[in-house]
Amino acid sequence: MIKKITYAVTAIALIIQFGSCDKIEEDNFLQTLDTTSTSGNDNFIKKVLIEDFTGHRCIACPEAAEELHSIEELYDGKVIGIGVHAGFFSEPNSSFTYDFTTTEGDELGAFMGVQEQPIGLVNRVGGLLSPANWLESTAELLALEPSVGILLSENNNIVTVEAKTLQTINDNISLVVCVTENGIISRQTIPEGVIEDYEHNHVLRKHLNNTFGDVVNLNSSELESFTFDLNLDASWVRENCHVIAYIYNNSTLEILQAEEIPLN
Amino acid sequence: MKKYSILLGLIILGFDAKAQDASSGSLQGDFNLNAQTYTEDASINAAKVDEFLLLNSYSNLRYDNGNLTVGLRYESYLNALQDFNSEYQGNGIPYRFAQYDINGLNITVGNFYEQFGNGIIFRSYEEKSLGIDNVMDGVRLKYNPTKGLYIKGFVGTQRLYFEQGPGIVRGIDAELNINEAFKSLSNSKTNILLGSGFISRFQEDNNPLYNLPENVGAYALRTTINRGKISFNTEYGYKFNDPIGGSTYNNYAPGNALMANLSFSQRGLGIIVEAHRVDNMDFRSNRGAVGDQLTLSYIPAITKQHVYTLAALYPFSTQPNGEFGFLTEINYNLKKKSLLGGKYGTQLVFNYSRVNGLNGGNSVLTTEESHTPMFISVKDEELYFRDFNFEIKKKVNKKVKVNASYLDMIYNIDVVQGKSYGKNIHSRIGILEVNYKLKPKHSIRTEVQYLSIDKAKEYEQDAGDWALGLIEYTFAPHWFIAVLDQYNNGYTDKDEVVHEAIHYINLSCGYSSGTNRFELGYGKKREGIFCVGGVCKNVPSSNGFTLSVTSSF
Repeated sequence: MIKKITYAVTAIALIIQFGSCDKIEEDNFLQTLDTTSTSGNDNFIKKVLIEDFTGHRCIACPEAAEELHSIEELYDGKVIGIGVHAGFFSEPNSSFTYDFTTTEGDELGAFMGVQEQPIGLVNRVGGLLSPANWLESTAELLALEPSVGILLSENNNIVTVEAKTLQTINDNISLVVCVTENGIISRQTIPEGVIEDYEHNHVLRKHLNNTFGDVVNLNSSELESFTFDLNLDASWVRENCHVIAYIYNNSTLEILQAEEIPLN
Repeated sequence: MKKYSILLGLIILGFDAKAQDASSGSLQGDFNLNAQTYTEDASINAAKVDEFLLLNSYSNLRYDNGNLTVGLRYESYLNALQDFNSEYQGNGIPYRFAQYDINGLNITVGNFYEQFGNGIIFRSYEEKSLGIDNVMDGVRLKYNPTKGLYIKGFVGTQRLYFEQGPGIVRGIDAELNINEAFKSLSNSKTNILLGSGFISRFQEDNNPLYNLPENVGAYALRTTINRGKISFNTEYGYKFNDPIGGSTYNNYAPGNALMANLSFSQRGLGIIVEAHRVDNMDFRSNRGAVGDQLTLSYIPAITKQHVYTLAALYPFSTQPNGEFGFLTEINYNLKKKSLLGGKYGTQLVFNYSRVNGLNGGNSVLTTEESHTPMFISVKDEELYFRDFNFEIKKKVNKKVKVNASYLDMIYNIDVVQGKSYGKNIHSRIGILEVNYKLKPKHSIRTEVQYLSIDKAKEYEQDAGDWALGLIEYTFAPHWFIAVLDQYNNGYTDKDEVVHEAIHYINLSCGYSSGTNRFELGYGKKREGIFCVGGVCKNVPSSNGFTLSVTSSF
């Protein structure tokens, strides 16, 4: 009796084992990534915004920055990154004197419940995600048709955002316009110690409206236009700065569309 | 919500049944509340919180009636205490279950905690004080088809704060008690248990760059053999390829863990020898999860878990990605009325443990790299932790009991806490605890502890030396009052921030009556930075009142 049962259990265990385990062979780790397909039309293609909550005293954050950079390269022009220096590990002290923090970044970090770092948001869908989950979320979101179209331009320190709806949206939506800066050389902790000349990219500098933006009324027939004064800080290198505009759903918090332009 | 209503209905039915027939069922419950106020204190850099008062609370209810058991736990985080993840927010019933026993088959629907063997491939558990609760939600069957054979299997998802993780976890485990199963061995002096478990996690592969396994499996084999004074337990676990996703780094190497424990016990003497080797064994129900979220595998600690505050200041935690460690502990009782044992005897405890990294790090198999560490390698490997400690417990006379300990620890803060100091911390700790019985029901307990940091250049000094004093007065069975002072001598940290000498004074008093217990405290808590599993979190310092209430029926 016991023999029969033991055999039966072993057989069930083996069936489950072999049926429930996928072994990926070494020459099959990578697959061909299709980055050419886009969602949208000739005027507006779907873009995804990744907000990387980082800090110069966060030891594991450079790996997250590397992941963001890698995703941007994979989906050239369709992924926009913001490095939000917020939370404990971004605060300056007598050793890490450079202050990367902003009022908007602090408010956003607190609102999103950032405690552990590195952590990030991908179009603010699915809450705070660890960097290993950013690529999958980005791929899923890029496959969606855009519900809002944004055109972004800058002339004589006036930023113009033109936007229209591409699908029916029943909730309130808000527009946020902000400035980021690349190529800031400053200290950063890493597992091996401190890098004195670490290059910080996508650093959130300021919002041109407030932290959570302004509610906007858009329609599908024509572009609505909004203008903002740029007013860059003298210490920022204009050539390294970008203006980013994004529109999000006030109810779900999902970022529906984002656009970015460099300042030259 | 509907499912909760059904469960509540069942409980109410249970009450009704109880009313009809007092012997037909029993209801048990417990309640736990922890609240703290947070006020500003510049001396320790503590900030107030907007809410002023934060609160964690929960209550379990369990109703048994014959073969049926139903239960639930209501949890409240309004808002969660600062030490806890803010994802714990609001109220909810994240734990509810119904369990039924019939003809050797035990069926659980809803939430359940479960563990296979030592937990190497699967342990679902809760540790409320640490904010850990990875309870399963699904269906579990346990079956005892014949004497000595125990089978259990389940399918479920795992709790993540007030939500569920994305992975579906399937498991089956069988355990055979040889002595129960075979009549001829029922009187054998040797008892043997054999066990085997298998776990599989399903999670969709949405990664556009890598082919990720959607079904990741892990199995474990184990045995426990007891004969007389000797007991031996060993378990081997293996995890198939389990890359975490993302675009930059995916490790397809399998993982494995082997642990063995041999103990000898006789009157007055106990010896434990233990070793384990862990390689790439971090297994979770969401492949990208970090910190303490959604863990499936649990590697039991191989180092002694200290309870005295300063002995636990630098606590080692198992590194599931890779470590080799061993432990030896000897308990020896000097006999009563002997020369060294004195009138009441004396208990001596020696403990030594050492943990190091694997040779060249854990197993790696990526598109660019392949590495498998040597099976056992100790010499010249990176030291993670080393602890030698010695404890004497002695009853001096009818009124006085003394515990004295000495510990010598080396702690790799970079590996355990994710810091970047580049040096280990070497601390020596002395502890003396004295219990003095003043008169019947009245006793005083005092603790004096000192932690001395090795100032040699090759060691990191971290926060320097610490001293601790505690006086606790107990008036049994209802009252106690305690004063604790943890003193730091001041230091300059790695960021060259000067920290002045400071006393962290805590006052507490408690009252218990029956199963109710109240404790009120006031004091300061230190700031702490914790980096676990690739994520870092800062628990800010705090100053305020604490209230704890526990009860059960």
